[in-house]
Amino acid sequence: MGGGACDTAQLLWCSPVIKNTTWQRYRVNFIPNQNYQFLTFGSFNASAIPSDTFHSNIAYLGLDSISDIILPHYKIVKATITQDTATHCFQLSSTAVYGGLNFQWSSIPSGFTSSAQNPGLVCPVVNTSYIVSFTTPCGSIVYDTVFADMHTGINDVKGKGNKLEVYPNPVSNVLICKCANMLINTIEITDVLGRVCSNPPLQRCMCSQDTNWRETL
Amino acid sequence: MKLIINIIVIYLCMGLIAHAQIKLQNPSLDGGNGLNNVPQYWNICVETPDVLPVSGYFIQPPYHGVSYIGLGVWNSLLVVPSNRLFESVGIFLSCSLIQGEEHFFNIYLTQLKKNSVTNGDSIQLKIWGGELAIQPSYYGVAL
Repeated sequence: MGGGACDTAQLLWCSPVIKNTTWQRYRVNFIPNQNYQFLTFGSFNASAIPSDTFHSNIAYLGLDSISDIILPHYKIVKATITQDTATHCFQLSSTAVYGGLNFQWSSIPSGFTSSAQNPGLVCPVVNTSYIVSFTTPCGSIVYDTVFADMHTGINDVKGKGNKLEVYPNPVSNVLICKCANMLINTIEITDVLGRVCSNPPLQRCMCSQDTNWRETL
Repeated sequence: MKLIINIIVIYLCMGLIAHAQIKLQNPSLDGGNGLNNVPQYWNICVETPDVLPVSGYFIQPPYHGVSYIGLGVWNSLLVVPSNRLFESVGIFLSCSLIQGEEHFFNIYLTQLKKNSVTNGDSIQLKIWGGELAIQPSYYGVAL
């Protein structure tokens, strides 16, 4: 708490005349011309004031229950997704107005998480939404979402009927899985010895180097 | 069914959280009931704002929580040139406003009745943006 007039560099909003004597909600809209860090709330009376009354009260205004300030068209955090043409996977990255704070990525369907600002390459097996959350300096959490569409931007997708397509073979690092005309909830991949290399159910098809594979549904 | 639920979750997330938010400290204006006072985290800017309700003065209950801020408009011969005193309070933002961007928030307002009597005159709320610096002109003349 302190005393003294506060900085009132820009008048942001003026209410209509408040005549209601019960609480009513008012929406405050404004566009600041600076990155202000201080808000002043002041009473105002534009009507003529009798000059013969010494220090008499004219009117009183009650303020209560202020909501969060919303910026409806502004993103503090922005997620970006680009397709990696070499691997048919996707590069995930993000930018934020404020630096050095917490990023947390997740996915729908679930299975992918990362706390990196730029997680890098992801290889979803189905259409997947990637959601990045970001904790701002004032403690609020904001989000942005990008979508990995498995059916666009990939030139060699062909109809296979009820067929699962997995490549390359042999695989050295990232294994790409595709399917057509069917919904697959889980995929299990085993090597020639029957050893499972993709259990629990795949979110990314990753097998170790020199591993052969066969598909099982 | 799982796919449908996922789609619903995605749309809910995109609709509810696509924008930035700035939180105020003590937005319910709670605590410190009394005359010439402000709730925690708030600052007195001009004159003597009150934290209400206060028995014998303003007994109207708050919209939310346990208290609210009361701002009066006064006549005073001590003030030049306008003879007006406009009480005001202020708060620092933990995240600054963003220049050139649209902002909005909601606030609950009412004209107060002192001892159950309405003063009957019009009153408005003005909101300013600023920095830490204290204005050289006091007593609301610049307001």
